[in-house]
Amino acid sequence: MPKPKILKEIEEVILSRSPARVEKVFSKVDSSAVAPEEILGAMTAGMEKARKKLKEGTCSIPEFLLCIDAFRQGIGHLKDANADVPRKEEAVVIGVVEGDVHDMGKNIVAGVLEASGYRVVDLGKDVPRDEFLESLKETGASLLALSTMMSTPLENMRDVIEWVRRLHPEVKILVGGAPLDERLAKAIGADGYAEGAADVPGEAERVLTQRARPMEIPVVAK
Amino acid sequence: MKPERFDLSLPCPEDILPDVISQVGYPSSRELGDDIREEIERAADQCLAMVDPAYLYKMTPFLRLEKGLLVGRDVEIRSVKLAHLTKRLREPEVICCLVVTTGQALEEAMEEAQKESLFHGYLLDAAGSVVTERLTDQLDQHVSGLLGEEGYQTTGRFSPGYCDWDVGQGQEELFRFLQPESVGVQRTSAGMMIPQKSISAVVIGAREVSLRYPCPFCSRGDCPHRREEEGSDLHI
Repeated sequence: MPKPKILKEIEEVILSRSPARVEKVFSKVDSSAVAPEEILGAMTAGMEKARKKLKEGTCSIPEFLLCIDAFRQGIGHLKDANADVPRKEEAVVIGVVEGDVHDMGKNIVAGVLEASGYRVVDLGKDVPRDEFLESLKETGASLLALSTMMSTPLENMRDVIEWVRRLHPEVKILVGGAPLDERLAKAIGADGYAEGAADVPGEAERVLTQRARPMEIPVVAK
Repeated sequence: MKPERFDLSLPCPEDILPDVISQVGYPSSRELGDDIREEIERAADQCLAMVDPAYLYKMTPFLRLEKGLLVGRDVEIRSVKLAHLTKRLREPEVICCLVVTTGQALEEAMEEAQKESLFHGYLLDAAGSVVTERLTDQLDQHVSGLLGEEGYQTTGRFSPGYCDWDVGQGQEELFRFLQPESVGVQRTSAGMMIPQKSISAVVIGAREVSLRYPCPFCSRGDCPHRREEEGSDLHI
């Protein structure tokens, strides 16, 4: 099959809502003729369309999740073919803060970040502060994504942010979850806030390209 | 009043389907494609097959109202809004505390499903939420029936985290009194329950209940959980 045609098919199948069709399209891919970067590029283009549709309200959350599943299926095929899956340099550490066990939203965000090319280190739910700090140290991640669906663990989220600022000041922090809004995210010290899964890649990009914040030097009156 | 055993019965898949469809974000089944509808049905079936319901309830005498606090013999509920509601009841005398869980098997199935497919995991999670509510409705009806036999009317159920009732304080009180660990329900440091698909709540029994929910005492008109009752024009 000519290269542009298969790439177009890959892009389209991400939006097809059909795992069986995803299988069929990927089984046709001749990995010696198409580079993994090109396959991934087509998959990402499909995901980008899905994200746009979700934002516009023309795609439901379940339909969007089918697109993420299709993307993950595609990554699985690339890995099965021993292809070196190209990823962004930045790693993202993600987790639900200690005290909360609701991880559906976090799992969706992890899937979206993965589909946007990030290396995602998912620590799971009810994650203690020190585990986040340890993981940032080990992975050298540039971004930390924290979530909670309840208001009680917000104090734990604020505590994690405070410690990350002390020990890993270079790491950008993105937060999300039901009790948060932009104002509260700022108040607890986060760099960015994503209201929904579709906003996550844009917000991640924004905080990562932010210039390092200038240090605040106290003015001393002479 | 001693708790009386009864069996929670699982709802039929077709009974929960409209609620699951709404829970996953579709206003009605008309908006669904056949493919998604079939998957929702599959998730509802799988959910019901995994549910192993358990419950616990205990009643304790209501003693008095203090400022924003309901004092029972064994529990204290710190909520200005529930206190407002209780003030409106005639002879509030009983606080019934309850917990319902769908069990650990569903919790594990949801976790596994998400690893394979976020789509299916999401549907299963939604079905789990609907089933948990339905089971809690049954227990609620059961305890309301028991209290009714004693001449009490009951308020709507009120859970930690509702309105101004702090989840942490609420769960701490209910867990201390009920000890739901005996039916497999744990709580995290912040008061979340494990399994996630569990509900804890209180119901107040009084000789006359003219309002079942504290919503009329709340000025948050845009609250998504707001419940309107007939004749509820008591906005303050």
